[in-house]
Amino acid sequence: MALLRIQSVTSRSRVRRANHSATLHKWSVLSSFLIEIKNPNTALFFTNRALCHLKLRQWDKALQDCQRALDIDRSWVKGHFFMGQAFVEQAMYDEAITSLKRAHDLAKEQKLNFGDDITSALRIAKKHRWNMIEGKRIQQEIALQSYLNRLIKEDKERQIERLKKNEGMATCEEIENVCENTDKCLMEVNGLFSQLDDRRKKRDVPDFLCGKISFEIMRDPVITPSGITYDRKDIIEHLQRVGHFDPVTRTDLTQEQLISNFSLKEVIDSYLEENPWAEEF
Amino acid sequence: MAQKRIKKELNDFGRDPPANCSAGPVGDDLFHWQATIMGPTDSPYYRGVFFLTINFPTDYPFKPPKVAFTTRIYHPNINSNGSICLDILRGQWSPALTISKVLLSICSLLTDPNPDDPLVPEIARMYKTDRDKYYKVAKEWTEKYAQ
Repeated sequence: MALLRIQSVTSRSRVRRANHSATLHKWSVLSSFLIEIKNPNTALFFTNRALCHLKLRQWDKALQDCQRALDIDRSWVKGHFFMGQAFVEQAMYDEAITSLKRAHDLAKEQKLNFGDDITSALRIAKKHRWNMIEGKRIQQEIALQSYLNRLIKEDKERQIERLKKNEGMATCEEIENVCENTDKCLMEVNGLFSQLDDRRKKRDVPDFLCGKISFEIMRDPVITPSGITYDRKDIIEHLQRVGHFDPVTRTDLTQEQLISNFSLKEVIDSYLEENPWAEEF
Repeated sequence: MAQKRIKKELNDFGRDPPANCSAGPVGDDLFHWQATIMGPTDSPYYRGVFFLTINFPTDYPFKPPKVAFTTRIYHPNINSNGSICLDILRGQWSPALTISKVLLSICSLLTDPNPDDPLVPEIARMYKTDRDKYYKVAKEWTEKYAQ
């Protein structure tokens, strides 16, 4: 009975995410119902409570419940899935990715359909991890750049100092030479760093990995009889809303003619593996 | 999807703008653009600068953008409100089209009017029966409104 009620609230809340504060109240009521789990041998009860904790943004408690669910059943998909989400919220991205990958694999094995829920959580985790690493990298580069700048300037002063000491009467020309050389070094170093910066700004997913409708990197590429590849959800929406033709070639097209483009999918997956910044969600 | 796609189009447009055209959002609203087209050399619109407004529907690219001239122009397929009679902006729209391609099509419509599918029948009739007069009037309008 209690279980049934939770499921109906879960699906309803998925439909109406906008109605936030009302749902939040529901979750807190629900979690208080669930505080005591009378049957501690059922993983489902723990993941249900974990979900309530997630909705109430109580990440620690959610993690604990997921862990208990997984102690009961190692292959419980929701245990790994909710655990991954709680990890993401706590900025523990590596752990999140491991959990979500496990959830994804297990769902596949057990032939459970979570739609895009797990995969999109995985994309979010990957993107966050990449942003974090990138942020660190930029900080390190800035530190390195100012360190190098300082070294060059110190070296310049040392050289001038030495000239003045050794010669007793360093010529203006010699000092100018030193200045010129070190200024050139400074310019080159800073040029290299700004190149790095430019490359970062110009990051772009190549067009051949993007759908011809959304212009975004494709998730589920399908090929039409004309040889054009689209993202499945976009071409289906086009067929339903615009007309039964191939958007690029305008030849007749029906949904049954779409064929999964697995090799392009592999290309996209390996591209995303190497370019995590391209993940979108 | 509309917002991301429009952003991407804006980027692509900036990187590789079509000849004689410019376009970009008015203020912060990505769904509302202004565009300009320079009159093509081999047309009576040469040396004119024509302004257009572009409004993207919220379900773009599954619905075509609304494109209209704000500069007056003497053309069989463009009326005094600036409405354009162009198949790809109506029934022949395809989500694989872009603003860049739409503007190029409008440019070629300026060079080659389509009098068999007119929006302003008088201009279409003149275009068919007295090409010189059409050319003269169109040129006068260009000088008057687009320079």
